[in-house]
Amino acid sequence: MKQRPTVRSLLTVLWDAFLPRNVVLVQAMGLCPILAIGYDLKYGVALAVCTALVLVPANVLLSLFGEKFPLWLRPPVYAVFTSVLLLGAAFVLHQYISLDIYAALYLFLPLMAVNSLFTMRTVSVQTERVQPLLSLADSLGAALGFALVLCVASALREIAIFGTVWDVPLGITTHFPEAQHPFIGYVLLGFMAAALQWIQQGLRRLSGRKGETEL
Amino acid sequence: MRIGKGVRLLFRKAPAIDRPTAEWTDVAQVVLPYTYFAEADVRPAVFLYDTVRRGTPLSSSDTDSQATVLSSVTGAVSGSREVVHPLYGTLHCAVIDRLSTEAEPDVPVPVTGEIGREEVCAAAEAAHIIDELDGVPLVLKLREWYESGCDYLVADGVQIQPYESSAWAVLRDYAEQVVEGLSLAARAAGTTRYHIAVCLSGQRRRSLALRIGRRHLYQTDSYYPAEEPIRRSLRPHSRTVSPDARVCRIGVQACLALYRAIYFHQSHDRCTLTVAGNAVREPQNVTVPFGTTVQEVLARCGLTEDPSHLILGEIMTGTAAATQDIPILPGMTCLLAFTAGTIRAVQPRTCIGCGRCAEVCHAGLLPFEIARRFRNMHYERLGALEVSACDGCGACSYVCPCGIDLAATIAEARGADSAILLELEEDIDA
Amino acid sequence: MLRASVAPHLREPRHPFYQTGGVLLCLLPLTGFSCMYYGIRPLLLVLFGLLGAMFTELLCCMAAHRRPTLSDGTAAVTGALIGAMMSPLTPLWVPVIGAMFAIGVTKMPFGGIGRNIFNPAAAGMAFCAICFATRLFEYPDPSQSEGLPLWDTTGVITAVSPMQQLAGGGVPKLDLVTLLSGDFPGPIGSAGILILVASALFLFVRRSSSPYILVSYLVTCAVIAALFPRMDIGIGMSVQLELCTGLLLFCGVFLLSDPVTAPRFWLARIVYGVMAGILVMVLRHYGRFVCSEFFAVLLVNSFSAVLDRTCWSLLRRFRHWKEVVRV
Repeated sequence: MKQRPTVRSLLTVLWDAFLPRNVVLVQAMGLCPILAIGYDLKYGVALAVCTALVLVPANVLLSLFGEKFPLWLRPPVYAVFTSVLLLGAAFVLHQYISLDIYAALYLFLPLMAVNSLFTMRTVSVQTERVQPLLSLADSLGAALGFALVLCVASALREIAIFGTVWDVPLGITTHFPEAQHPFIGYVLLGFMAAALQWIQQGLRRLSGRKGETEL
Repeated sequence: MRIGKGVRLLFRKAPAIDRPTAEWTDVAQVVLPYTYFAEADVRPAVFLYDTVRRGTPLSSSDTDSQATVLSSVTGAVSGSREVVHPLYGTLHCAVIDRLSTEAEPDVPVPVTGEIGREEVCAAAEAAHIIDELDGVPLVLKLREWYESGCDYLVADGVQIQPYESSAWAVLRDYAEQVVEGLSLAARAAGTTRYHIAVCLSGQRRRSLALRIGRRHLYQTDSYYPAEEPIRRSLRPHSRTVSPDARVCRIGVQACLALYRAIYFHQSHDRCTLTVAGNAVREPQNVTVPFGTTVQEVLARCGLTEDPSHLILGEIMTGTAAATQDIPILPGMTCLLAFTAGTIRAVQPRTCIGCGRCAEVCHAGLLPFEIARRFRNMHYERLGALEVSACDGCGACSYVCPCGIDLAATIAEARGADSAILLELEEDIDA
Repeated sequence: MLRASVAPHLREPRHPFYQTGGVLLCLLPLTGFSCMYYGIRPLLLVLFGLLGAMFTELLCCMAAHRRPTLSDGTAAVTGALIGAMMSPLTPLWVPVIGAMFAIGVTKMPFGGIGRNIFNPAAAGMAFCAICFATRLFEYPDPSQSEGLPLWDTTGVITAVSPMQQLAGGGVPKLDLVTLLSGDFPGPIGSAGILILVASALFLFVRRSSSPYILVSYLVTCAVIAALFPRMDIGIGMSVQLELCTGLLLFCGVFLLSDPVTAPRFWLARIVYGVMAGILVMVLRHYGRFVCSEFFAVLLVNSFSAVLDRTCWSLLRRFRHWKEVVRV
């Protein structure tokens, strides 16, 4: 018997997927696009929006119909489904938003279809949360978490490379163009993951749940 | 520089080995257990105020004659008590006050006829000879060697660790008797190839070789631990030594006891041990009856100050004792007392991965990996790392530049390994 | 009162500084040798790297609320090694940046001494090579530079180093005496070939490093240099040039045999050295940078734990199999 989820439980799921089980910093998924093109805030925002537009409907729809497919068929079906959604997102981006950003994301947007981010999320949705509302909250949280990390990382790298944020000069003269290398992105993500753990530790201490361990 | 196994240790035998061996048979009191083996089924044969003669058994057993213990002095039983011995565990002991004041003379017994295997075993059994290397009755070892085959019998007089020199002292005083006893033991073990392994400086070795001949004296190299050098030392002397030849080790004092048991009908009730360490005023080798308390031996050697560490056995392998009130029993060949601050607890740091432990391990193990796996609780990996091959020589802890107590960790891991295996077997049985 | 202690009660007397002190001692004559050609600047570079590393380590320890671990000297060694791998013309802040990356990114986040997977010095140098490639691989001519200016080195005439010549298909005109005397353009630490060899022997005798790694590494490099010379100069000359120029020997003596990141089992050490040698030569043949030995070091570092386990169990299995066959 299915119960209607309460608002509180929905918020808990959303928060849980947003920070404590952040897709990038905790589950280490979807690293490739961040490392490759997450060096400009504009690209970062575009990629994050595309991801959210694909991830949320995909998760919700699959939570409704996913059970109809046998287990072995699910990953290819998901991949096809997400790529169809991505195609739509790419079309919108190309036609109505910015050709420039589309050109930058040209290689990575199609690649996102087979990104572990989607397959993993959809499979986990399939096994854990079959209720559409819960699935919506979960995927929204995941997309927000991905967007946050992507935006922070790309903003930081943009500052380092060009001395600008969203093309607005900050008046920094020393530039560090080598931050465009993916390995700098790796190092940055590593430190961000550590910072996330540190923040969570602080939050736990604040809420007085000392004895509790994560996981 | 040396690429190979083992470590070279310090030489600290100097004051003890240069002094003559002291014979302290006139002890006031001995504390002797009714049996050395916890699982043995024995009944006390002497009771309070009984008078016992030297060589009479303190207990009787229907099943195992070697489980009983012979009195080492002539005296009166003045009580009985429990002793927690670091080497033997909890022992039920009789306290015997020595009565006769004159030393008992050694009377040779005429030996008639050929001494064969059976005669040697019978003498070892009657004299209750216990090998000081491992605390096992000699007769059991002789029978086992005879049955499963023994290619080389080696009397282990190496004593490579820094302080211990009791075997050196015995060889210096009774070399001829030791060789005779060793030849008898070899006869009982069913081999004709026997020798004494030593690790002596030139002068000592030459004088020993003059007395017993070079044939039975093999020099090992001076790397700790000694089992491997003993094997290696065989190679240049005999081309025919195959790698899987069985080399059996016997204690030097056990050889001497065997000689005395056959030619003098004496029971094995004395041992020679080295008393050394910087808390001891006169480090020396002493011969005392079994059951003499550590307290008495230390008092007669003199203490410069109250010792903070008392170690039964050598510094690499010995056990720290918590009290001086324990008897000296077979298997003890060294007694070390140190003042405060000599043995410092090292604060362990993180492993830096120098690999010295793997270099010195004569069993060819990877101590750092075993310790890491054990700490991280990867118990299922311990079996594949062959933890059971460790014999606890402690060379890894000695060389570790980070002060990690590898030997203790591996000993724990061995325990964990066997416990887990037992659990697994139980699971399979169930 | 008797106190308990665990066997063995005796430990080999070694100060924590014993291992790292030896390496620092070896770097001293090496830097001094370079100073003979270029003035005080090499010493300054090494010192800046050293201080930068120690400062970063101190900061990291403070951030982690830990007791500072400066006294074991590993940070100092890392920084000094980074300084010694630089060109004498490098701006003085470059080794500082490299040392900060080495300690702050590759060492302390992994848990400090003994827990880092990659050699910090190699990682710091790789970072500098990627980020400051233009400034790092320009070398002054030792025979012409009468003491380099301390701060501004933009006007100094640079010379084509033998590594560049080899990479570009040219033939450096260097005989053995010149190679051994270090009278050719190159990094600070690579000049004194004889000092490097002496350092290696010194570290072996102190047991701070193992000969297995260095010997197998050098033999592999020499074999590859003999089999696949980069140009037509004869086998002997090819081996000489490849072994003596660049950071090949320096990396073998100081970076590869760093105990934390190298394997500990002897067979694994030999395999590790061979792998490093192959990688170094492959990078020399096809690499983008003039000096790329530290990339090879980083790559083989990731194999060392696996090598330890595999080699040990393979050897054990081989021995068991031999026993079975004999029986």
